[in-house]
Amino acid sequence: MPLDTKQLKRLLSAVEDTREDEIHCDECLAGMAEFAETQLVGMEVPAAVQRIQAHILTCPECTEEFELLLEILRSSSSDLP
Amino acid sequence: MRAPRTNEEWLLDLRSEGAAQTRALEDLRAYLLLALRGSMKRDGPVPENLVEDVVQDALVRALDHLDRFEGRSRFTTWATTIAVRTAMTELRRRRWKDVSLDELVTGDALSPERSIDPLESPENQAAQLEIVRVLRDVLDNQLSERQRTAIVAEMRGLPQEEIARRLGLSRNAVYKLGHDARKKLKRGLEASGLDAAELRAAFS
Repeated sequence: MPLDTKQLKRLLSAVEDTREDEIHCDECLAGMAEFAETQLVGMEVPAAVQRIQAHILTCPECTEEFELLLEILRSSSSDLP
Repeated sequence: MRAPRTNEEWLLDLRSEGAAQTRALEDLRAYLLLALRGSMKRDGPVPENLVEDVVQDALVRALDHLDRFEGRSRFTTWATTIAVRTAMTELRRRRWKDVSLDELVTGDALSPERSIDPLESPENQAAQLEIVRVLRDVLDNQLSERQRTAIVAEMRGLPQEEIARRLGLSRNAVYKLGHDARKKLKRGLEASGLDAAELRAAFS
């Protein structure tokens, strides 16, 4: 079945965000902890971690994992040992 | 209550043998169980033994990859990223296990009837029609079969690791297929004189 309008919009958005040089998911995972900690304290994203941020923009699975990580870290100050 | 370990202490204890390693593993296991228990169940019930299995897998992976921890975050944050990926991979596998890749990607990827918004103005519908024409041309004539499969399945919502499982590839390889497809689609749109502002305006 062809893509519907919503899926087509997703495709166009992903195409628009595409860069020539993107890292893959394992490379993103390797830097995700550092990126998450900078986000939690509102620090400026270091240049070396900006590629992680760019990957998360285009990868729905890494976005989902990153959001879950942030959720866990936000609760960690009160709940985790 | 002992003070939290520093990154160096985590690495030292986990790389040691005997009681120090056992204690560190138990502490990390307890930390990850607490971290994942709530988050894995946020979208519905998940058996407790599944959470425990995921944490066990994550512990093994973390131990196997200790040399990849570069100390640029807290050790527990790094370990949590591994646990989150392990958990999401398993949840996606369960959620999508009955979905056929062939059914998702067979046939036309785009069609004016389904892909264009009938509520849009005639001008925007004409612009959408042109965008669909260009995208179809690239999808049908410029992408390899695997690139087309990866990008269409991804846009239909199938997670990349599930595409990878069905194609016998790694998640990284599927990401590259999708990336190559997006680059060709972007060049196709640019070659047709369609810039980002026009695309956004047509689908505003």
